Amino acid sequence: MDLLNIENLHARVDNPDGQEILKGLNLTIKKGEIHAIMGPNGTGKSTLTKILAGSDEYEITQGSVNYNGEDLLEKEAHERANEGIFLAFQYPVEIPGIATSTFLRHALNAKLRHNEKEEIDNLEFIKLLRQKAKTLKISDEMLKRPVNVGFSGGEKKRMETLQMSILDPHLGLLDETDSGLDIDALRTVAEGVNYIHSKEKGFLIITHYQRLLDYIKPDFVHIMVGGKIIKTGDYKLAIELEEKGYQAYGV
Amino acid sequence: MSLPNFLQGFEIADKKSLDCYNDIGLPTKKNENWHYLDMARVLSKQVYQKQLNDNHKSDNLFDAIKISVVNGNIGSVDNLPEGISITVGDGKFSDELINEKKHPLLLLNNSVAGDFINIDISQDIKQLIHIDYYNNAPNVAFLPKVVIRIASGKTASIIETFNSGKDCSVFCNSLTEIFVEEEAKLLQYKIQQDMGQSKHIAYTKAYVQKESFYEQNFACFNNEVTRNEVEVDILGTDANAEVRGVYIGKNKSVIDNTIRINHLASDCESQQLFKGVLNDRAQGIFQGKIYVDKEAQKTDGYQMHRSILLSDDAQVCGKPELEIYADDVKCSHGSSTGEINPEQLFYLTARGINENLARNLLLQAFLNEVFDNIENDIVRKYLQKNTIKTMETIL
Repeated sequence: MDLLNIENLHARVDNPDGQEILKGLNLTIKKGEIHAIMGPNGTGKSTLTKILAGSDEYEITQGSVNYNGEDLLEKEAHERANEGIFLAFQYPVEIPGIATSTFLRHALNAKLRHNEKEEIDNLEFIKLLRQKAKTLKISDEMLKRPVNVGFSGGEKKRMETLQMSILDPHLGLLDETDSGLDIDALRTVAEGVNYIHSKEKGFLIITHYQRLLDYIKPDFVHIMVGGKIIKTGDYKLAIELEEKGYQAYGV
Repeated sequence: MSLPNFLQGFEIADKKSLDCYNDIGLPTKKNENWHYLDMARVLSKQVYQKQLNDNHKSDNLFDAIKISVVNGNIGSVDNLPEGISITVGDGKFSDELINEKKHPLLLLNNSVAGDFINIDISQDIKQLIHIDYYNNAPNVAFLPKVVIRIASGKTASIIETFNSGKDCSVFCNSLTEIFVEEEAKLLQYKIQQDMGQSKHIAYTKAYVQKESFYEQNFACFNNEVTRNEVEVDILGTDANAEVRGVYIGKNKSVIDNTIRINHLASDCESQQLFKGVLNDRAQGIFQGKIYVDKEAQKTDGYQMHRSILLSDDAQVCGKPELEIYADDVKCSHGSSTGEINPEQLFYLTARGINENLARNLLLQAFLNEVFDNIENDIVRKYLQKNTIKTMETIL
């Protein structure tokens, strides 16, 4: 069954002279599939993930997005998250004054409430958080710090992975989660993704490097140029790109 | 000479102050110190009266040494621990404060007859000292007079809370004089939460001696008109004064924090930190000054005011000032105004937190930078709880 179905999506930056970024993008992700999108800088890859997560920076001018059979574009960002969409940000924002654990408890309880389940109590939550944090090599001290404040690039990405494992999404969108990671951190993050992945779930991974795909095996690799997907293949396409670059695609 | 028309039922206590007040009159925009808050206009619309009704019971929220002031009438204070004396009745502000400053609202306070609250602290006092102002009479005026002295080397904390019954119109003109002796430490908290149609004008003057510490933490939760004016004279070396505040306003509320710290001795530190959140047509005013006398070498003065506006009609007037006559000092000042950071908001909503709660969390976080400085756990938690509650009503 289709988890995500994007048809002819056009989008522009939501301001008076905002330029069009997505120019007729089509993509279908079925349950259990892992898709990777590769492509040169400035081609709209991050924009795509932000639009799916509900950012109001963009205006959709044409096309549709269905998620689990429902119109995704009708829903607000928090509803999308509570219905299982998770965006691991390329640049996770720092939020001074809100402790990581407080923030995550609010997020998890919002999801539980949305799905008409009982909220988790504080003690139980801390237990869950510590257990998940340990597998991702995140210290208790980091959990007490304000959200992403003073974290290194690698710590921020590990923290995104921790959030993903706590919120247990159905569709994970990873926006260059591998950038700036050393090989050990990369492996930790990849293990996190593989741990969550199941036949009910889908992933969309934006990356510049084949390296991450050595650890998370994609079912499909897409090349995105000029705001749309221009070629789709399997893992071998990533290897080919790593060797030859995007020249063959008019870039 | 008589008292101004907007004050009814009060006797005159000090003719000289009244003459002087009548010469000056209520401040208007022409007075630089009141440029953003036209008191003559604020007080032109209504008459306020002395009220005798003192019927109100309240809980001892802070497990404190509590002084209740109901509609301006001061209740009795019993069971004081050793090391503190609280007397109600006669009292006197310093001549310097009343005669030299020519501050109209100080003069007005001193003109009007009323009991003083004199608090003398001669030992460390662990319990909070709480002055609980509550009003439930219509159009009530009250003019509190408080004098606090803390002896050398001693520590104490004082909290003043201002509350009113629903739809209760209030004029408060409060004057407080604080003497912090050498090596003493006085922590002062003031919480204005009248919530309704109240005009709250307060002036605090603190004299800080050698190696002592004074701080005031002010919080204003959505009052109609509030002016919190604080002036600290740092008179001895190695002393430290910190004045901080948080304000939240909606509708047409006006909140004015006017702070002046006078560094008159060397090797002292001071801090001013104010943060505010304004919605609707609310207005915030911050006038902060660090004055450094030529004797006050090695001064370390810090001043910052930040505000977040939630509506296009809300506004902030910031006037951060430095006046420095010494050549070896470190002073910084600034004032900034902005909106909720849209990237932070998206980050929270993208994790499933609805926009309203996300805004509330971000604003709490913004204000928490001020509350994080509060040593007293009970007070800090009380302020944080009230912030969440107030934020829910303004978002």
